[in-house]
Amino acid sequence: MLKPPHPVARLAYALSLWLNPNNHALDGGRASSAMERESVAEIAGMFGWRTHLGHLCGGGTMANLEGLWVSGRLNPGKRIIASEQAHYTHRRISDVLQLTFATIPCDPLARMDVNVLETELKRGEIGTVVVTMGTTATGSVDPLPDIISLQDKYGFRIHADAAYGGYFILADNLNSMTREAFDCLSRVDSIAIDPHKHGLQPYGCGCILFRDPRVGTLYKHDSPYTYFTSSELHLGEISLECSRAGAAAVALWATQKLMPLVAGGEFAVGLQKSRRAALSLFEKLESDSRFRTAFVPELDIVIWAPVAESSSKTSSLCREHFDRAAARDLHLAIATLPSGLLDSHWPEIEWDQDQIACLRSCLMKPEHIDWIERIWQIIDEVAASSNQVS
Amino acid sequence: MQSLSILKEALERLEAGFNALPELNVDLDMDAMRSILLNVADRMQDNLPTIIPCTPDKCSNRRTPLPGLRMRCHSG
Repeated sequence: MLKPPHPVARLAYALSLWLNPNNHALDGGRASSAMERESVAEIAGMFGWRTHLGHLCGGGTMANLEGLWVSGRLNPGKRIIASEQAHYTHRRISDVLQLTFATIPCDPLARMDVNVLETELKRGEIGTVVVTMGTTATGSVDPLPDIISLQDKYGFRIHADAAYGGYFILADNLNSMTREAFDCLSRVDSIAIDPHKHGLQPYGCGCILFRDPRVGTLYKHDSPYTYFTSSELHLGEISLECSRAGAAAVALWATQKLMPLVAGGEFAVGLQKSRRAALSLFEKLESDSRFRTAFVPELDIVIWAPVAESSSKTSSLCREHFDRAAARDLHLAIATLPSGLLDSHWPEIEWDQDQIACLRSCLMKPEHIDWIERIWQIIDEVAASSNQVS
Repeated sequence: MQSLSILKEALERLEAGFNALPELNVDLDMDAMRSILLNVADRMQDNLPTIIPCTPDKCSNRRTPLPGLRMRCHSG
């Protein structure tokens, strides 16, 4: 998924390259480290945290790795749990950290099934539940209020993977279920969010936040090579990465100065436009008999498939539509989903394979709302020119 | 700074490859962007491009640190 950085981010990033700051230590990035701390505090404030421990990092993978690393240190030997639609990185990170990982099936809305989660919690030995605030495939948001209720009962850490969806906490046009989930985010233990997705930043800008600053003690280390010029905290003392681009912090600082992270502000309005665009495309698809839809978008991701009699033919047709749309400069994506996620939505299909390829579009640019008619025109042309039988 | 003229030329070449796409008109508050970028330029003057060797007697005159940040020389 690609979202262009804001021009002010591009310029600030480029400007800082004249010094090439390194935010590992204040020695290499004194001003840019201060800008990072200010920017990260603003992101934490967006989630309602007045105190926190956090820093920027290379991206969502690194942010999630630190979140699960802290979880593993605090709950040694206990399992990491995530939904089947959580990002694959969690399984891989757990493997790297040598933590046991397991998945929970999803409900028909592609969210973690809390009934299955509770059954698993009764078995015990769960240290952390990863709650996805916007899955990569469908943009579904796990039922955080229910999971917090289970946390009160069973006791475990909650790590929110808000890499894709975190900024939508500022949007005023979420459905009530999704809004309730975002309103609970201040109660989780850690949050991964990617400024390089919806935060208008160049790639290489993730962020990890912890609600309890005391987890900083887990990072404690000494370095014989760095940390010369100040007895103040160096960001490298609270992060697993060492050298990293101070330019990312400078770009983020400038962007958040131009567009503060506040509800109703210009930045929030951009997110709202993306969501409106997704809903608009979904409505067009839903009302057209040539297409099947499943999930009403919770954020700005739309999933659909051309009508075909079987899951294999649907998958084949999706790939054909993908190619034909790309030839017309409409670059869609394909999401391969388990049949169990869609069979209740599309019972008329012959399920002749375990998975089904669907078309997917992330309407993550505010401008998409202005391009919806043109996008729809191409989707319509592609369907009309394909071998589809409706 | 001279290299920026090359960047402008290269950017025009890059954009020429995407001429077929619809025009992207984004309203930018140029005055606000200018003010912020000049602020960035001011703040970045407190960033050391490399570690500057210092001695305790000269260290205090070197520069005014940011609020909350204390300079400490190598020997300190």
